[in-house]
Amino acid sequence: MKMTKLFLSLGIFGFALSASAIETRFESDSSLPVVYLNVAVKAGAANDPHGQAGIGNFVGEMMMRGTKTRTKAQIDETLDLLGATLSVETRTEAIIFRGRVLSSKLAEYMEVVHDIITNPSFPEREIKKLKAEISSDIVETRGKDGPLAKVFWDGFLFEGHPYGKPILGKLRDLEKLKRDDLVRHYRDLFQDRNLLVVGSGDSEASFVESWAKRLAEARPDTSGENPVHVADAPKNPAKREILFVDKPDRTQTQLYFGQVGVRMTDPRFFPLHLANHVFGGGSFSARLMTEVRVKRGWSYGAYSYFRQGIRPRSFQAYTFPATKDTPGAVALVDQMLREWKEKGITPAEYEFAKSSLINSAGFAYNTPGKRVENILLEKTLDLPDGFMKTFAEHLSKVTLAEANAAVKDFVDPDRMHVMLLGTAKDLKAKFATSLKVPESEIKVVPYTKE
Amino acid sequence: MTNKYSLIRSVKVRAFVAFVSFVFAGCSSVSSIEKEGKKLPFFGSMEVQRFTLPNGLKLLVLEDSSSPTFAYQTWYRVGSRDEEPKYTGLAHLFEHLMFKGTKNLPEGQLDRILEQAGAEGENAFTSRDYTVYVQELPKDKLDLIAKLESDRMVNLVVNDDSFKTEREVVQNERRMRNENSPDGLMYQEIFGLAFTKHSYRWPVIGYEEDLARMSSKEPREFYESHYAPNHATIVVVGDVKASEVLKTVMKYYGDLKAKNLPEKIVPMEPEQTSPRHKTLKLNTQVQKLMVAYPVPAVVHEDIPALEVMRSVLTSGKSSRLSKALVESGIMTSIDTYDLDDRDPSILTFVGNLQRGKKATQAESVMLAEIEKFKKAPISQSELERAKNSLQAQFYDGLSSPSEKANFLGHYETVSDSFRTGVNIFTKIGAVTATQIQAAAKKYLNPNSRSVVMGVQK
Repeated sequence: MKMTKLFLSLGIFGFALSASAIETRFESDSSLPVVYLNVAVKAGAANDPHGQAGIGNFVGEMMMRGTKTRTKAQIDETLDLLGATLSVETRTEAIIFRGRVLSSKLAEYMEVVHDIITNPSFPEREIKKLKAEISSDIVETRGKDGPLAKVFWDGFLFEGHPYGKPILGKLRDLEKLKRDDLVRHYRDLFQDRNLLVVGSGDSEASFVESWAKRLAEARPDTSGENPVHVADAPKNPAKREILFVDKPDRTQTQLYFGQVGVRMTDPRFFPLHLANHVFGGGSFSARLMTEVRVKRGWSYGAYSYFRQGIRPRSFQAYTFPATKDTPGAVALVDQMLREWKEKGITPAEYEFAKSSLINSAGFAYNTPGKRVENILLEKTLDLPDGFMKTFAEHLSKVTLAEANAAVKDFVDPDRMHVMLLGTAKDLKAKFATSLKVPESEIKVVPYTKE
Repeated sequence: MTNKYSLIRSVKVRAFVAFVSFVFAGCSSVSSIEKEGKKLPFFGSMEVQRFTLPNGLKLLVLEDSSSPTFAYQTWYRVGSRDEEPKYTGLAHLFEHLMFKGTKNLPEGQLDRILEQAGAEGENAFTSRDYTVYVQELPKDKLDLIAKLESDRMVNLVVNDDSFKTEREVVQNERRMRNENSPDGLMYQEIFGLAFTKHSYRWPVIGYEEDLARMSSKEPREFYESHYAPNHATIVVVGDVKASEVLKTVMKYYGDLKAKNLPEKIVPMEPEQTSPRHKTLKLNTQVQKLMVAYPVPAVVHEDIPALEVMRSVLTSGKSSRLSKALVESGIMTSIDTYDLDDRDPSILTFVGNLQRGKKATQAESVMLAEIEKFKKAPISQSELERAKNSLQAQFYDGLSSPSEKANFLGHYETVSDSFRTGVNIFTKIGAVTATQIQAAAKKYLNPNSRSVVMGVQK
């Protein structure tokens, strides 16, 4: 625990939540003459209205394509002249403007970002251009099996739920977007109470806080009901659902097993986190990696992990075996999940996972960059302040019995979603045999389906 | 953008076998090596201490107490460049095998011990010029990692069973990175087209048939030929004292024997006098384009001007090629790969077309823009923009102990001194518009370009 205490002393953030109403966190770090500045809105793709998938990302991108005082070309020229970068990262429950600038240029940079956040103009010409670019990116992703499978997996696991919406959107929805839709969505999301400024680097926290305050003052009063709503929690199906995404000529497949997950604040989370470290959680000695890769050489990797949301999001096991080894891998992962539920983890596995996780917990916040990411997670996922620093403390209290009880209660192989991306003519029948189900229970969709 | 291979492995549970303790008994003492060690300026107030052990092992230490951790990296001066035809991919495959057992440690224990010690980012990667083993650890684990890394430097055991399984893992990695990836296939082809003699022409991960041809004999020979203290540099960055690091490294590596490792003679690439084109039919729904020009090695005096040139051409949305190709609605992106190879290599422009647009059109626009670029020096504003961008990128690449170690290890390995990287950065500040124009005329010769286009199958 000595190292954990040392780690806990790291990171002195300036905290501010004043009349500005934009929560601001900045960690001064003068080791390099660079500043990282993020402006986040606590709403993302999950908040895209029905029939407008991708609008959150589209609005974020459009904000950098023209303001009431600057054209896109002027914004681009100014940012490039400052040697700065500014990009939009859209997540399921956040849109983040990520910026980097030389500290000597920070004041000029802040002026541009202020303009982008407060005065976007959404010019029609740029809307047309951006539609062409994003729709090209969507179809380009069809060439990349990993990212393509992830889009299908989210849509399948969260069918009908906001968590299933693709970040970039759907071609048919993008095509229909109008300027008025963008302006409305911007007004709904970019309200001070939903905004957050987080950064680190070679500047003073007070300087960034003053800027955030000016940002808030330049924005209209938006008191009243917050248009950003959090959806209900997703639910697992009554029985196992199986999907085959058919793509020609695959010599390798993408295989997912999964279900709705748990929040980090759920009492079962830390017991499950520990037990999952044994099963497939990023450890080189985890069961999935050992059985699928080390013993059999069937895949380059095999993992299981939780994804987090304001609501319970997902737990999944994932691997990408050679096509020839896929039937075996499907049966093996299925069997391993069932054994994990039935038998839990052993005392030796428990001790090893616990010490590994506790000893390495400090690496989650040992640099200013990681501490910034933790704050973004805590604020956008509605977690308590400082939560990401509490892993070691929480894990130290988990018992073996609690870990195994949580696995038994949570893991539900009979109600999981199972998805395979591969070539159906080669694998569909074998896939069914491996899962011990008739082929008719497998839904097949082409990889070009939205 | 670079194309390096990060690998992950797994371990089994077995009892820890104690190591043989090395007792330093050489003729050089820690204090004499320490006295001969040099303090060299890095960036800002940072200083790097360089030591060379009597057996030829190099050690770089950068003290940085911003977190109670340190990065420990072992850089071997061997990559796919050093392979022979018909045995491509051996350097990378061998990197996988370095996580198997040693004479002192059963298979799987290395990872298990490090994991239990709280190691972060335990990994490895292989490039054309080097192979690197990396970890970050809590500050009190220096002795442990030096013991483990020194052991596998000389005591690795490669058996037939673990070789066969790991070769299949690498075949799966190749399926992921190349066979089922349009971008991976394009990247493989551009090097295969631009190089006809030099060993940069084959992919780091190797060809399927070459990997299938190998037995455990080749990795064993490779280990004997390339892994030795005089073929490696250890880089330590973090909350450490250089004198303590030296003492620990001497304790575990001091007695390891240097080997007579013959320098690989790599054929020089003949001058390219006419353009080369190749079109790949891929499982893609947008067309893709790569255009490559021969450029000199990373130590060449023209590199700073070339760095500024590529920034003017592709860095930022207001760069020349971004405006001509993306802003105009032809492509969705345009970028270049890093200029960081030990031998003369290629500067590659890479991008995706927008739906319905043709790679042939993009190539024509790119060539026209480059010819325009060569005709007149760039403006002071463009020059300032490129320099600011490069400065920010440099600093951005040094924001953690492991990133600093990457920078030091990379330049120390491809050029014999990390100062090469520092000097490139410094000289960029003095590059003039005239020098950029001269570099463009010298290197962006349309007759020496290689072009790979990816179209829908």
